[in-house]
Amino acid sequence: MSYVPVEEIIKSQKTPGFKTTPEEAPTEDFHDILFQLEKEGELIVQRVPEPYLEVPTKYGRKKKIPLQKTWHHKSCGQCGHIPGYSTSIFWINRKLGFDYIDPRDQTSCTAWNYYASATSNAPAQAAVAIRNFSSAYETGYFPIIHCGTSFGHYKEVRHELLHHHELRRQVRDIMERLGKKLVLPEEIVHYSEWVYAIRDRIAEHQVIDMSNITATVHPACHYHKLVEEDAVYDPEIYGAQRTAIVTGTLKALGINVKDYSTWFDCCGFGFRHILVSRDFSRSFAVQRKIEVMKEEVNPDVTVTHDTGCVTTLDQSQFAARAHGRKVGIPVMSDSQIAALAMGAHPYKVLQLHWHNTDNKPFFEKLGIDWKKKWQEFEEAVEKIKSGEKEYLTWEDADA
Amino acid sequence: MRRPIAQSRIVRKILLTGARITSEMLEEKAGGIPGGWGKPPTARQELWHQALPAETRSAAEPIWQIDPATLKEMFFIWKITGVLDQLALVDPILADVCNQILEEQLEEAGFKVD
Amino acid sequence: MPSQDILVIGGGPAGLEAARSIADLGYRAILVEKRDRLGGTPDEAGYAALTPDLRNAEEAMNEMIARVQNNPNVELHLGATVVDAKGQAPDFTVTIKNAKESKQVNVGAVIICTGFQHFDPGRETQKYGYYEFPDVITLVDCEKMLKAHRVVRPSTGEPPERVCFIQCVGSRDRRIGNEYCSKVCCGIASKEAIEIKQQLPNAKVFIFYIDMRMYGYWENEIYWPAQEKYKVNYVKGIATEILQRDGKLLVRGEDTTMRRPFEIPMDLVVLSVGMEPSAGTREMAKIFGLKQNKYKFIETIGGALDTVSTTVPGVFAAGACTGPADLEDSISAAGLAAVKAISTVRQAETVKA
Ligand SMILES: Cc1cc2nc3c(=O)[nH]c(=O)nc-3n(C[C@H](O)[C@H](O)[C@H](O)COP(=O)(O)OP(=O)(O)OC[C@H]3O[C@@H](n4cnc5c(N)ncnc54)[C@H](O)[C@@H]3O)c2cc1C
Ligand code: SF4
Repeated sequence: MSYVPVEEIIKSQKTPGFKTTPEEAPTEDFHDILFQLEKEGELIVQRVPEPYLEVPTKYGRKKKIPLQKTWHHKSCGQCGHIPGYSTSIFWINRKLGFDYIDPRDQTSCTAWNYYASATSNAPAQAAVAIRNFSSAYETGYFPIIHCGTSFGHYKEVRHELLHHHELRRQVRDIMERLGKKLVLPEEIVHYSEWVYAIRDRIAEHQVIDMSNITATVHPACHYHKLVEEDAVYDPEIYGAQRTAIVTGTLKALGINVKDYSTWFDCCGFGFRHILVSRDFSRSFAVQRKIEVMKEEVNPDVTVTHDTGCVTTLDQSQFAARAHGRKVGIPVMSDSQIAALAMGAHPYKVLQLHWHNTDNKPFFEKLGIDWKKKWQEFEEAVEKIKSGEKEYLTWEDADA
Repeated sequence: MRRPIAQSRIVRKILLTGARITSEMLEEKAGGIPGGWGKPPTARQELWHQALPAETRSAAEPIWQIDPATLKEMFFIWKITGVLDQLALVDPILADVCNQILEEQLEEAGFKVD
Repeated sequence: MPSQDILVIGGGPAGLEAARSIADLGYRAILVEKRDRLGGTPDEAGYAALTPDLRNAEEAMNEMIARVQNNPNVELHLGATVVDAKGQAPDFTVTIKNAKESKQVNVGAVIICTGFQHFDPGRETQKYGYYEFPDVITLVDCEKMLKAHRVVRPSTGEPPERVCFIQCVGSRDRRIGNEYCSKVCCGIASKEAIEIKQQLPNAKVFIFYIDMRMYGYWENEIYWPAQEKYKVNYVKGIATEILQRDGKLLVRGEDTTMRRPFEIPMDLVVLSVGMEPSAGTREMAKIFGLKQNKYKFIETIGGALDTVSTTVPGVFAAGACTGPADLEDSISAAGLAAVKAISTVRQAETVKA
């Protein structure tokens, strides 16, 4: 039998990597239905403002990402825990001279209520979503969602609305009574997609070298496991074999992203878990995520893009620390890391004092004098305490 | 059965704040030691809420500000879509309390619920 | 003008059988095949042996090809495809295009045999790391190795000591929208497992399955010999992910009989990829205006009693373009399609007379 180098043949077949072909996408392109319903007068579609950027999604379709004129849908979970997550997003917008709105006319998406307790229903969820979208539409600014859960949930709500005439009718009726319209945005955009889309611009403004930093990435379940065809997958990153989100941003900043075996696992937050069996969440976060990262990679930081993930990964480590286990990885969002790279203040902007895990070694590695920065923050707090100031302003943040 | 506990917590929190459902994790009893500083600076936390440049920060609590009118619109949605009736099935007492708050607020805002 | 010629699109097992049957019954078949060779997927993918009797695949395909290749009743168009179709039975005008030119032909009926493509594990099931790890391969890659008598780990070129198959990759998976069973992969995996043991008697071979679907005689012809004679290890359970650890692959999953998670080191993992409609099948459905089912296979409308008629009279479909099918299904359907196509053109002739 003549020798055939099969292993070379098989390897060379795989070398070009996976080719995404939108024609072979197993899922519908929701835009087709969205625009059809718009034509039929069933709903209003809010267009992504120009100029927009385009990013590839799982099956090679393109998703439009607004550059500016954005309306920021904040998360109900993040505020108490990590306000710097959103503050950093705003700071990047300002730094790049982008126009945006931080609205007061926005509620929780209430998905947490829905998923964790089942005391809600489809019309309620859809109406809450559309009330928020409609509010954005009224301002002329395009919604951008900070929370991974709201993002995933709104996409599921969109699916239901596009496919159920009766639900659309119910929601239209409710909106009418509120003096609002049934509006859906052309794209439902997560803030990390925006960060990803402008990563090169962020890198152009980078003032802190991060090339000596090793990071791990936790992609949020509600980002890439709900309506997954709409998540960003880029052939340049992981060969489009997993979402490019966060990793692409970190790479653009020169950070060394390393892989660990449980990257696909939940952060531990779950939904009901964090509420009804918090110990399970804590153990999962530590044993399935943090300890695995520590053992396999020993990163300087782990970066994610959902409020629940940042808080769970960050604030679960104290219990393990008390038991002397190998933990101690600072956790941040991609917006915080990006803002830091662009020179944002670690406490006034990133608000890292709300985070739980010791991040001082991380700063020391970056050559950032955290003592001095903390002092600056304390001085700002002092001014508020003395009544000299009521709040910290954006000018103070950059002072 | 533990489920109503979760439900109560979430519904009550959204009802009260419209924007926040999480507990204060940095409290000493929650074991939080912010930034690895050693001691949870609970006393300073109120000031920290103000030491935030985002305009919608809330001075009093770790939440984002919400227009009272917006909150009432959400209550209205809850009321007419039967969210509180669902709550009553698992936690009638809590549902009663919520209903009372809600009705007062909606009446004040001039919403007709029937 | 009505024609008695019959167009067959696709020169795989089904197309070959359809063309041969038409020719044998004294009618003229115009056979259009996209590739420069006949033989279909078994030829293109380089299958080693066929179920259930481990007959040499090349030899079997060559036999089928020979009956068609120099047949005076078969007009062969290789490296060509159909780009347009107009009219209705028994008077279709079809444009055939190859690299150089387009040509219009007049035919009375059409049989579509454009087959399937293998599920690409890069589109979903990325947790198995097909594009990430060289030693994760598919059933098709394994056929190539078996044919070359070189079952090796692509990373080292060394024969593996431990091999496993993961079943239902891209099939029976609601999450990715392919709820259907691809029908052949349990049999093919078991067949390949036997062949691996024949070529590498010391290798340990495992098959992780949801449930083994060994239709009809495949049960006694393949399944039991695989276990009893060749000691292939069948493990009921779902492999969820593959990792690389210390130069080996680590297969993680859940043993659903023992009700516990497992982590097993392997040298070579074979993904039992299922069947999806080929690009040609999807194109032909569009060109001829045929209804497709939700998985984009061509829909046949006669249920169990007529497996080849489509929504367009005079256009028939046979083989794996209508859904997952093994050779037995494909060839039986192709014969039936030939008969139905002939009866379409004959009826037209009778009416005219
Ligand atoms: C790994 C594997 C191993 C298998 N082994 C066995 C086995 O051992 N025994 C068994 O019974 N079954 C086996 N099968 C199943 C078997 O391959 C199919 O049943 C069979 O190939 C179906 O034949 P077909 O002619 O319908 O389609 P195909 O074999 O797919 O042939 C379709 C033909 O149409 C051509 N074509 C496509 N588009 C166009 C176009 N637009 N214009 C012109 N031509 C076009 C293609 O080039 C191809 O030649 C196996 C399947 C797999 C996945
Ligand atoms: S034949 Fe077997 S491996 Fe293939 S889809 Fe059906 S059950 Fe799964």
